Amino acid sequence: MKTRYAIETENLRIYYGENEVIKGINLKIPQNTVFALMGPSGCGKSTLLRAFNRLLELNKDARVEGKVMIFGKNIYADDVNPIDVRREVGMVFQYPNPFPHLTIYDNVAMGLKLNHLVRSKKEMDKRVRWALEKSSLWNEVKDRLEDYPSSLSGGQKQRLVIARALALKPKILLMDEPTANIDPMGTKNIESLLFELKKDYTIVLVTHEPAQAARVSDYVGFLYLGKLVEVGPTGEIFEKPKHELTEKYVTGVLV
Amino acid sequence: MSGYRLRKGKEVLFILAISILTFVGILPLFHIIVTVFMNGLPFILERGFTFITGTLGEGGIGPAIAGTFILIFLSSLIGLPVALLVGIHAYEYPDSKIGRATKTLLQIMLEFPTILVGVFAMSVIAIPMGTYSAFAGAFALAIILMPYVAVYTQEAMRQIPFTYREASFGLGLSRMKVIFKILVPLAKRGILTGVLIGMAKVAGETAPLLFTAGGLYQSYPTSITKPVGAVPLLIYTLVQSPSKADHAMAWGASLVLLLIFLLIFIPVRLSLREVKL
Repeated sequence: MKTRYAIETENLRIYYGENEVIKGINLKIPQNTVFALMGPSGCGKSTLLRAFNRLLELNKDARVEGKVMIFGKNIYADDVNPIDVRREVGMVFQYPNPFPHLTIYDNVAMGLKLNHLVRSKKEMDKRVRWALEKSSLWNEVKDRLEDYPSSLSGGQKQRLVIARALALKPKILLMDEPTANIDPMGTKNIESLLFELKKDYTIVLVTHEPAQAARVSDYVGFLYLGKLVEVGPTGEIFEKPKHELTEKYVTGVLV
Repeated sequence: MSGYRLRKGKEVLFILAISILTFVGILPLFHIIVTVFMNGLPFILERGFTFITGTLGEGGIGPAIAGTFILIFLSSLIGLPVALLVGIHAYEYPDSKIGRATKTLLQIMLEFPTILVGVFAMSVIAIPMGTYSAFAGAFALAIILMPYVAVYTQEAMRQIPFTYREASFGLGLSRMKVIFKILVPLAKRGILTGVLIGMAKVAGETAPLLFTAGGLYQSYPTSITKPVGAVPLLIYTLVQSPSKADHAMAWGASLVLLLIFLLIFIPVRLSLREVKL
């Protein structure tokens, strides 16, 4: 059976002003996998990730060339509205950022409410519960849905953000170093959550920790100075990398 | 050991110095409040409730108090919507030509001599209408209120970390929804502070009302197209009078003005829930 690709890029180049930061990337990410994008700080991981849901456009200096296909459709085509792309491709950020002025419930419900995707309160309750169960936060917050997220731990906040993204029923979930600001226990919870989530979603995880990529991903891409040095199944990349740079990076020589 | 004592000594001296300077700095504020209370309170107690509700003929400043509240309300009604939109625009398009010009203009307007605003409102509203009016006064005050609220709005929005902006757009929301449904509520506390500061500022203004509001103290205002009084304007008039009784009354009115000012400022600030980012 032919694998269907969730994300494909064709000669993708990204510039900040005159500065080329992503230098011609061809990448295929299969459906229902965890794809880890690893590389040292400043290599362009976060930039590349933000090209997958057109969030990059919030930065006025950024310019994209080439194609990004989401399930075969180029999201940079003229007739594509970035709003639709972002509903289909959810995002989780490096710093756990639930909206501090909204309750736990409203954090999950807000995207649905403002997009008019849910009609009744009952349906909303169901969807909020579903999203919180999916992000395995429900049991911890079910009795305090009206509390504010400031009462949650870092790991819980991050799972709340995951629920907020899942509530819109995206097909792809982008995660930009989701455990960088979280304690080890919280990190463990989120990593095990990834195994559950990939049954229904395709996950692209940016990490600067090779060990994390090795633990959770099915495929790995190694990005260095804006170029994709090597990409392949996680086992192969870590056991017998083809490229010297990759070997240096996974063994911790190159940081 | 002696080096340590020298260091400690310097530190104590420094703290002492800044404490004294701070005290000197805030002394005028306390002096104003204490003087106003000491001179105003006995007068108000003597006149009793009539002072707050009665007309000038009855020995009260009721119409002036009513006028001040009417002017605050009307100027907010005119000024706030404009101010909020200007502030949001300056935040959202900081690098556009209009955005940059707006920021500069707001800075100028903040420091603009308020008497000129009064002259302007007189020439475009009071003269064409042929009369002083609450509307003309409120229009002048709205122009004074606007830059405060706009600058505070822009500043409050600017302080929202970028990650919340990304998160909002990440939910597939339009720019309008991101701004008005998520970011503005997120900056609510800062924006409300600006609104209150703007209102407190116009509550105490005298100069822009001189040629616009006119003054009305012998009866309560009935229409926004007719002259209206205001507490600061009344104080100005009373102090100019040669009569001692009028001066005493001016102290009473000053205390009322101070209380109106604090009434706007303190409770809402306290009751706003702190938003932790």
